[in-house]
Order: sequence, then C-alpha cells, then structure tokens
Amino acid sequence: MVILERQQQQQALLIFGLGLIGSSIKNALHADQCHHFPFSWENTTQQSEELSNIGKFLEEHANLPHVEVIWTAGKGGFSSPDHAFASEYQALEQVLHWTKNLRKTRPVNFHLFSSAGGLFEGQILVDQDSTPQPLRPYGHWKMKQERLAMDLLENSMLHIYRPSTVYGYQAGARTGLIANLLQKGKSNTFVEIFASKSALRDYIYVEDIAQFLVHQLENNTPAKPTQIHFLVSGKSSNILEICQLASEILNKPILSSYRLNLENTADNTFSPKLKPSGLFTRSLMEGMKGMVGEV
Amino acid sequence: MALQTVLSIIVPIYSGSAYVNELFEQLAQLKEKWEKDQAPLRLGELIFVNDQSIDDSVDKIRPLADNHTWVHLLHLSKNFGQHPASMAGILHSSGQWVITIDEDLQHPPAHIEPMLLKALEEELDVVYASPTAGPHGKVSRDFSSSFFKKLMVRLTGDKNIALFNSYRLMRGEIARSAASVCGPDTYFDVALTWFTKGMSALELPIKDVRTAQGQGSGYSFRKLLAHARRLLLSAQINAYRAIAVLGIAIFFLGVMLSGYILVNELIQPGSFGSKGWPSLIIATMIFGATSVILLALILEYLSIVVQKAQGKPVFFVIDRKADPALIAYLQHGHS
Repeated sequence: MVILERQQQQQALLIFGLGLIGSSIKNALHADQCHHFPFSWENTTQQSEELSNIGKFLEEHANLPHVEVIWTAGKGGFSSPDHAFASEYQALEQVLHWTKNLRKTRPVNFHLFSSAGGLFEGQILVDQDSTPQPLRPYGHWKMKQERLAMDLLENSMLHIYRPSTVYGYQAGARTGLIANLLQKGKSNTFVEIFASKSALRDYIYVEDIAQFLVHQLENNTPAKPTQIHFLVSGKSSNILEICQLASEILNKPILSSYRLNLENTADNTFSPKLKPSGLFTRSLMEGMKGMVGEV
Repeated sequence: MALQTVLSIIVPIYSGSAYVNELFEQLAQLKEKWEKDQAPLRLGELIFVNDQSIDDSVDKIRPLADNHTWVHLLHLSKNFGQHPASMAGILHSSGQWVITIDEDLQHPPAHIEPMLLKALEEELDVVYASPTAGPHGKVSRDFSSSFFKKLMVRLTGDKNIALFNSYRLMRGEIARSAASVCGPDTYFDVALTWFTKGMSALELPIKDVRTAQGQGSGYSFRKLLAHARRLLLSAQINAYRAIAVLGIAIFFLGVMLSGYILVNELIQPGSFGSKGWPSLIIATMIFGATSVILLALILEYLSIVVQKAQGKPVFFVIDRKADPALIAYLQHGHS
C-alpha cells in the first residue's frame, strides 16, 4: 500500500491495492510525496502491526489532518472461486476497524471500490431502482464487502464506487479483454474471447475513474449519508464493436475466436442516468487509442 | 421472475416539435399496458437522437427525459442524417429487440406488437413496415422511391432491398452488430443483410402525414440523392459479372469474326476493300474483350476487399431462447 501526501489540501491518502485502478488513482493525484508501506494481505496478525505503523506515520504528520482511505484491492477476479476472496475480506475488515478507530482522532473518509458488473451481472438497463443480484462468488463477495463497510463505518464517511467493466493498462495488473485484444493484435497473436460477439457490456476507462476520484476528493463535503457512485459510461458496447475498433486502431485484423462460455454471454448494461455529475467518460475509441502505446 | 424481453425504441429527431409529445404519450401507454399485463416484454428505453434539430423538439423532449428514467436524449454534434442518427441510437441501446420510429407519427406505436409477432412466428430477425399505399401521398416521391428500390433489386439480386423502410423492428444483437460495422457511407439496412436473411415486411396503413400535408419531410432532393448513393455503394452490385459476360461474349465474337474474315480473304482476296481493316478490327475486338474481362476480374476482387473492409461477417450467432414466451403472450392478445 502507499501513503500519498497532498500538503496544500492537508490530506494523507492511503491507497490499499495498486492494481489497475489503484495505480491510476495514484498517478492522477499528483502527490507531493509518496511513501510505500508493507501490507500483508494474507496474514491478519502482521496486518495489525503494519496498520499500527501507518497510524504512527499519521501521528508524526500532523500537518496532514485529513485522511482518505482508498480501498481498490481485489485479488479475486470475475471468474475466481469462492475461497479466493476470504483473505481479502478479512483484510478489509481489519482496515475498516482500524479506520473506525482513527476516526476518533481526526476526520477520515473511506472510499471503497466495489463492482457494478459483479453486483448486477446479467441485468440490463440497471437504474436507481435496480436491486443487486450477484450470480457468482465475485459479486457475492463485493456485496458482502459493501455491507461490511456500511455496518462498521458511520454514514458520513463512506463512499462506495461501483465501476462497470473497467479497461486500461497497467504493467503487472490483470489484463482485461480490451488490453488483451490490443496486446495480441499488436503482436499478431491469436486471442480467445470467452464470451459471444454480441455480449453487451458497459466499459469505462480507468483514467476517467481516477479523475472522478480526484474530483471527489477536492469537492468532498462531509456529513452526507453513505454515497454510492455508479462509475458507468451509460453506453454499452458489444464485443464485435470492440474488435472492430481494435482492428481500426491497429490497422490490422484481430485474429480471434469466441469460446461460448455460457457464464459470459448475458448482457449487462446501465442507464446513462446513473452517471454521477463530475464523472466524464471518454469514448471507447479515445480510451483504446490512449492505451495502445502502453500495452 | 420469468425471462423478460426488453424493447428499445430509437427516434431520430430533426423537426419533430409538433409530434414528439404525442409520440411519447402513445409509447408510454404501450409501456403501461405491458406492465399491467405483466407481459414477458417491457419497453426498456426510448432514445431520442437529436440530429441537430431545426425546431424546438429538444426543448420538448428534455423535460420528458428529466422526468422519466426510461427516456433518454442523445445529442449528435452535427446533422449527420437519419441513418447515422438511427445507428447512434442503436449503439446506445440495450434491448433484445430494437425498433426505429420516425419522429412525425408516421409510424404509430400500435403496430409494434403485430410486427414483433410476425418476427417471432416466422423466426425473422428484421421486420419492416410496408405501407399499403404510397406513404408520402405524393406520386412523384413514392414512384421514384419504389423505382429506385426495384432497380437496386435487379442490380444486386437481393430482394430484401425492396423492403427497406425506416420503421424497422430488429433483433437487438443484429441491429447493434450491423451498426457497429457501418462506415460513414454504409447504408444501414444493407449492413443488416450481412447478418441475416431473415427479413420480411408487414403491410401496414402508414402514411407520411407531414409530406402529405405539404409540410416537407426535411429531406431535400440533394439529401435523397446522397441516400441513394449510399445504397448504391453499400450493396453488392452484380454488374461486374455482367461486364465479365459481356467481355467473354465480345471475345468469342471477335474470334468468330476473325474466322469469317480469314476464310473470306482466302476465298476472295481483297474483298474487304481497304488494307489493314480486317487485322485492325480483329485486334481491337480481341484485345478490347481481354481488357473488359480483366476489368471484371479486378472489380470482383475489389468487391471482396471492400466487403471485408466494411465489416461483412463470415458468420453470426443469435439467441432465440426468449421467443416462445413472447409468442404466447402476443398471440393471446391477437387471437
């Protein structure tokens, strides 16, 4: 995990999880200083000690009274089995308890990254009235995490973010469909797609998420009830469209086949009215062009 | 909860101020009817696509979009035309079925159920409305539209072209896939034919009220020509095969003529009069024919490349599992 110092805003930002979203947020924040701290994801005993060290750091930096804890951790993926999520849940629980204690001495906000795709899998035109109905362990565990956070933290300090299907590229992070297409397309390698050509998904570029979080941090007003933000583009795309775009950007055909994985054929789309103000989403073409140099 | 099919409705907007509220009301009534019937079908979204409208249509649509979660308003950055506006709406849709409707009540929502029933019963993927009489109420406009389509059917051999109409019900995945492979000069309905041959039309008493009343549709003659040009460019014209046949015919004619001239010269030397004429005509015919055949071959290859570039798929898979429940509901209502 990292602690970022933003001295002008008098903020200390704690980011747990430096995968695709976490790294993008870290880059977007333009911190004055960045400190790396160890965090043992599998070992709860070690976690206590490590959180204690983080606490000492914060005490030593009284010039950063406002603390923002950002949880973007997610070792388990969409297709991971149930047991892959247990240690992550325990780690979150530990951090939530620690955050609650920290709240006694200074203002703290907690930003939990959940998953709209996991919670509303198989649903189309999801809007404010839709109910989460996860279909697989990933979604169930995300819902549990949300409930845990709501139970342990007071309403005024919790923000829950539900991104749809996030795309982008970060070396070392899990590679999604779009990054995979561009990577394999560039190297003229065959790519196997575990879904049907017409499967609809809502795609959001990771940098748009990061920019929104920066906007939130700069405009955050405390004493509001728990806020749930749907980070969606509101414009769904099917995989054929994405392959066409990839082909156009790379100026060559994408060599692919479609494995009809029945779990991945259901459409999942969101109403554009779910988009919060302050979230600006770029088109797939723009996002993919931005990635192509990095993959 | 039973599997529920979602219908998306796309309405390109250019000059529909006088009609949009009434159109919305009719669609809202249909939505309500399906909710009341607990139908396996729901009207999921109504997407108005503002194609740089020239009146106050947007001012009327905006409060509808603000007050109803299922109504959306998309704005195009310039006037792109009805087909691109329809495609923009389709690419923003999520429904398993998508229907495009004109803004001016020419296409009453009451016809949606019969069109859907036809599609389901006959396992079709696209159903067009076919006007029982000339929809524009103007002989010149109706005749020219009908004539052009018939000509295109002859040139391409694709009978579905005669069905094309802006009131079209499409299976969602086919509509979105066709829209996603369309370029700026692709005729959308031609792109639909790349994904399915399951197309038909339902005869309906539809009328272009606006044109019939002399108000004009917003389509200038120039725009209609551009529309026709797009259809011409997108459709696979089989004329180059006719060119190849012509070339071969000329070639054989040239060979026969050569034989005739040769025999004549042997029997009656000098009978053709001017020197050099026989060899000139033979050379012209044979080399000319060869050029025509080669041209036809090049056009054939070009056609294949263009179709590949346009995105014509090798195959496409669809899902029909929700159809039986819908058929049962719609038949019950229409028995």
